[in-house]
Amino acid sequence: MIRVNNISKSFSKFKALDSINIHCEKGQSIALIGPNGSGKTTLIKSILGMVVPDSGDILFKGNTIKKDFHYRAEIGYMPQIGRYPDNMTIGQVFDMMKDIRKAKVVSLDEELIQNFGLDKIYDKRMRTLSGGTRQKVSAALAFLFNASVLILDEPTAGLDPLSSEILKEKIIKENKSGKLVLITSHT
Amino acid sequence: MNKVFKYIVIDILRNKTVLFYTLFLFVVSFTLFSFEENTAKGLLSLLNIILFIVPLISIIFSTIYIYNCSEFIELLICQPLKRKYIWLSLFNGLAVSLSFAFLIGCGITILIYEPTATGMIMILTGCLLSVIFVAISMLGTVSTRDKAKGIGKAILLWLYFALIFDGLVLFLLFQFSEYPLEKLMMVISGFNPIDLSRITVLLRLDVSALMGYTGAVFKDFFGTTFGFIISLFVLALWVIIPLIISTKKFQTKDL
Repeated sequence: MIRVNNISKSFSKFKALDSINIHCEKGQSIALIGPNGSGKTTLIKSILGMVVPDSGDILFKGNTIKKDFHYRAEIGYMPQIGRYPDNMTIGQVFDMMKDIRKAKVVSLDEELIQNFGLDKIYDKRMRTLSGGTRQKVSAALAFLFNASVLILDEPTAGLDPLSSEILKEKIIKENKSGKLVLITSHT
Repeated sequence: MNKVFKYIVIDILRNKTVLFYTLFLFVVSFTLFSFEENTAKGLLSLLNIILFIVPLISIIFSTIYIYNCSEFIELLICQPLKRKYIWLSLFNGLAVSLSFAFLIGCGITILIYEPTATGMIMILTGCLLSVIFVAISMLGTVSTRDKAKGIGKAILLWLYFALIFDGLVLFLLFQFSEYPLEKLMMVISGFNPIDLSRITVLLRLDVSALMGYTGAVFKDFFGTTFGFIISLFVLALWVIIPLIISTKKFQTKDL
């Protein structure tokens, strides 16, 4: 499904990725493990097109992702540090994302919104949220569009044990239904 | 094209700065026109204020807004959207709301007191200046990651266009006062959108007689319809060129 061919990326002098090759298939669950600064997030961001690699190629379902953007409709991404417009409420953020991706979405998966109890605090502004609640919003957004690939960047960092369990169960459930799950972690 | 644009305009309206800016322009233009008995004089005073304030607010507001938008851009970039589309929506949102603020703030009073061709040209140049400085600020922000540095750059750019450029031109004029520089001056004025707008409007008023021989040469060129179209074209280039460069840069930017 995702094939990474020989990608390299340096940030000025620091070489974050050096000729990386990866091959991921449907239904797999893959963990990227490594110390801080080993290029896990850079690799994920390259797959998402947020970072442009210096050399190499990334194929999604056999097509290169250079100059393409439609493939991102099939990816649910949960960033390490979710950053959202400060003066929007949680409800507005969800509505906006639904509005922007509407044309391509068949069914919404709002299970996590309910399980995390986010629907009860829909009118809270993003700026007032704690780090953990922000993570919950990121997680709920990643799963919302029933994407066939889930990319989770340190999903449980900052979540309390209870929420962490909810998220883990959800990840296992989605993986069993045939979705590709990519997780990074440093432990 | 419209969804991201819609969210950006709503967000700009929620941020009250643009509303205050509109109100400020309205109060200034209204008082200037009611103080002066001769509306042409009022127009002249208003022109000087517009040429100072409009670029300043446009460049500073857009720069700060784009930096504050970085979360929003990051959120959008991992969605199935083209980068070019996100960047151009941001530009459109800023350009439309700032031109609209100018249209309401100054346009209405100009239309009431001076509904002539000169008044119309002034409204047009004011809107163009707003858009030009939005485009310039986008070029500045795309190449600077640090917010404080970016805002400093924006202020310097404004200073350059509003003051330093004129100083350099004056210096050049004095140094080469023995040579005929009139034709060259016309080309040089094209390198500064503020100067070009000033000349375009001033030549419509009768004060150009005070500008001496250079003024006469300017009038011969910019006073004609052809010259007017050329200056509009150059002003349009000031929007298009920075916008194309910044879009190109944004497409390969790491976020």
